[in-house]
Amino acid sequence: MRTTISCLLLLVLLASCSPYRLVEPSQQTIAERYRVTTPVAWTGIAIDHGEAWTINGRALDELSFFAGIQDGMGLVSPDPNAGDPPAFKSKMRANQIMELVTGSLAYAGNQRVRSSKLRPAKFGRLPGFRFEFVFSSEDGLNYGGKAIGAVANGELHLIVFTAPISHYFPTQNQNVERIFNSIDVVS
Amino acid sequence: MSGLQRRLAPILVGLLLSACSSASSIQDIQPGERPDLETDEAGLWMRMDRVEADLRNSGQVVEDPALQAYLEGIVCRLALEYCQDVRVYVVRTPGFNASMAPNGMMVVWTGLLLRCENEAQLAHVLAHELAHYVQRHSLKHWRDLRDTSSGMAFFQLATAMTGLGLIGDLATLGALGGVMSYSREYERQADRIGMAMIQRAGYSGAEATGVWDYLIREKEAADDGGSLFFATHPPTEERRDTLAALAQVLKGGRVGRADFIGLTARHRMDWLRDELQRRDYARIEVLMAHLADSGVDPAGVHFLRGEMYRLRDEEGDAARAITAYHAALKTRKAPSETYRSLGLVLWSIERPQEAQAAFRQYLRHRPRADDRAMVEDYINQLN
Repeated sequence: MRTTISCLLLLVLLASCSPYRLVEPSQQTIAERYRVTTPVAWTGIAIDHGEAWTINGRALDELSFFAGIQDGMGLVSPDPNAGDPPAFKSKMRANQIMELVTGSLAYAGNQRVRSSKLRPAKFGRLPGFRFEFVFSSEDGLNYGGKAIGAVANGELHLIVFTAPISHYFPTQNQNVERIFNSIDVVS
Repeated sequence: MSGLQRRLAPILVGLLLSACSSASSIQDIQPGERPDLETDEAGLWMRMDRVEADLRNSGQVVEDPALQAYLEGIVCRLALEYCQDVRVYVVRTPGFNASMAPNGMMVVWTGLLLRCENEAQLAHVLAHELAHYVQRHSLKHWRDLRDTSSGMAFFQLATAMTGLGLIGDLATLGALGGVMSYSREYERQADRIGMAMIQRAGYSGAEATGVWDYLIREKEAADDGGSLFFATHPPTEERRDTLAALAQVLKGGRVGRADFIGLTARHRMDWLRDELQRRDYARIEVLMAHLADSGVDPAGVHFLRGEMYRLRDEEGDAARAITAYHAALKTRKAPSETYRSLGLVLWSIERPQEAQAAFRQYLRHRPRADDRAMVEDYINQLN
């Protein structure tokens, strides 16, 4: 009996240590920099300089929120075997931020990363940009992606969505668009 | 005896017993030969068959029937009676590498095709790989390791072989370079047999040294132990000199530059962009200089050389990028993105009027660009 209770307590403790959280369909604040409103529930996890949300698992759909990226910071964690990841510079133009995203995807082991449709776009009230991209994972699975971002006070705010083109990208696309359109930058 | 020791004992006994089939007794593989199902060689083949199936379905293989037929033609000219036993896969991966699995799977990375100047240079690399196959060097090397190396090295290799999936796993093998590298004796054999294949197929022997010279330049520039090909094929001056001496005997012969350049031309820019995304700038700089010197697609090469400097963004790179972009534009065949990139660099060094002019040129040359609105926004910001 005591063993059973101990096991249950351990499970409760382990569950409370889970890095994942339920993201309710409501307005969410990202690192005190901006808010977004999601029409559906996601599972969220903290990442460097922001958080990542997924519905079906991060390999199948991932919405990454980066907030307050400063000069010299990267979007992905350094790999000791692969040198430093691409880093943000506050003087970067939209083209170069797009290259930062595609370069980071390549750094993470993805292949044939190609971007397109870079255009001006509002990131909430901030003048920003958005673009689309495609890439192949190391296993050869073809992904689609889109991103929206802006630089304010030398800091980069960025939201990046990636999902396999075959099913999950079109399935989540409308939800992602609604989130992009809901951005509200915290003053 | 501990539990671990008890569990390891039968494995070690098994290894010792199987070690009776030593590397020295292995004969060359015969055309059409398949290993006996009860041998360790059959096990190696089975693993590589799985890797090959994964590779075929990976989407990494370049689908270009003309290029495929061309490479298969080269392999068959070199391999003759082994032609039917070898399957060639051009895999879209940056970096210099070609490999030959014991089951007849030949993998050629697009990075190798970028670095060869002609068909004869490519044929030298492929002939060398075919020689490893004919002489069953993979099997010999595996047995050498099993018989003589430390248990850790053996198990590392066994694990790597088992986990060998796609490109990421090949990179893992690169990290095991010390374990994977063929012995000098096997390399000498492969050089000798490869050169005989080259002679028989009528290729120029002199082109072999060009490949090794280039590889050594790249290794010296990168200063990081070299590519995966280096890890498995240690380049030594001795080998280069041996090849040069062997080549002296083979005067003349086919070089095949026009066909090679023609068939790789339509992929070159994409493959070079793949190289750029690796951000291995020291190595890419050598590659770009090599392509510029060889006169291949000067407009595209100058443009991507400029892109390399712009992306690297070290001191002096802005000026280098501008020079490269101007060189590309001078050819009058530069891609229109050259103007956009030139504009970005000029803007970064605070030459706004010139940047604006470059952006206008970009839009003039590509009025339907999908980033037109963004570039118009840049022009407005520069007003």
